[in-house]
Amino acid sequence: MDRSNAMEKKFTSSSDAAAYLADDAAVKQKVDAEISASTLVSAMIRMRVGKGISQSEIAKAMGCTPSKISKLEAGNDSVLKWGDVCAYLSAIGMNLSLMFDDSSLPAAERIKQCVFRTHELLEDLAKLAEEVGDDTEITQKIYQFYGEVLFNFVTRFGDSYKRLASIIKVPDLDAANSHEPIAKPSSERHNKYRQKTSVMA
Amino acid sequence: MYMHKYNVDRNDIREITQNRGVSMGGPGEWQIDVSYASRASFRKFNRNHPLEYSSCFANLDKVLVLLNTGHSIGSFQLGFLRPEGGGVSRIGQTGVPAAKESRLYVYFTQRGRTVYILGIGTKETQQTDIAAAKKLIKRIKSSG
Repeated sequence: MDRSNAMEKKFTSSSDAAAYLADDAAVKQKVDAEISASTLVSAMIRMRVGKGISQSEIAKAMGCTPSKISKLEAGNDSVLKWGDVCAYLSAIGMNLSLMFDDSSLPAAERIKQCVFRTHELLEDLAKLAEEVGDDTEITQKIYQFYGEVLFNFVTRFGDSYKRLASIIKVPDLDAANSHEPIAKPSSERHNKYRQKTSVMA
Repeated sequence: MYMHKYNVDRNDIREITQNRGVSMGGPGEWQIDVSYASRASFRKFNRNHPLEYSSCFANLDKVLVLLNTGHSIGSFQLGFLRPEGGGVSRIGQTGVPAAKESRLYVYFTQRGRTVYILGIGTKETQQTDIAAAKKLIKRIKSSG
């Protein structure tokens, strides 16, 4: 392509670039599928490079050849061996965190688990901020990140809540609380429960 | 649910924030410039070797992820990424059974945070492809 005759064409996604060059929109899907099939491999590479560890160093730590590491990083998730993943992560000093998500559990239970996990990670960040208290650059970033997490929670959940309210009949809680008849049954139930427990005691 | 305790360090902050699209205040995202590439040859290659084509671009994505998380080109090694001299780098296909050895030729400019797509070909045509890619880099440099 002669640049003098062509518009400058830039992309930020490799799948978009691939589809454009192949002149085939279906290629985007294929490349994206290929990318998502190596999500774990990509994360492992990112962690190794982030820690400044070479393929030779990791091979030495794992007791294998550098070509094995090269092959592992060039593959996709479906050909990874569990033992290799554990050894690789151990060699780069990373802990492995496994979360089993039971799809048969009620949605509410699964959401609760996610919330607890998010809370745990945020608590870890808070501890880190405490540890590096003198490094204001890091602490500021953590503070900013907390703000962004909160913003995302509020906006995203707010949107979901609004959408829910638009498709179902939401009880008017304020009105409900102002009426005695609604409060009474629960008090009655509570009293019955108290009676039962006192009998049992 | 079983989990190990997760110890966070500074690298993790970068991981945690950047993986979620939160900017740490670094420079902008890398761009892929396809203006110098011959669409006809890419179309033809995709027709003949669709799996290799997708694999090369998926590997380009792996490189871009590293560049977008603040690593400079040359500061890391990957089995499928090799310098061919004169600024040309090649990205190979991986994970394709009985694959035709394929190479996507690119040119990284750290300052411009741009990767130029130059060409694509097989092992058989690599000498011609590399020579053509080098010529394109000269044109890119002269126009820049």
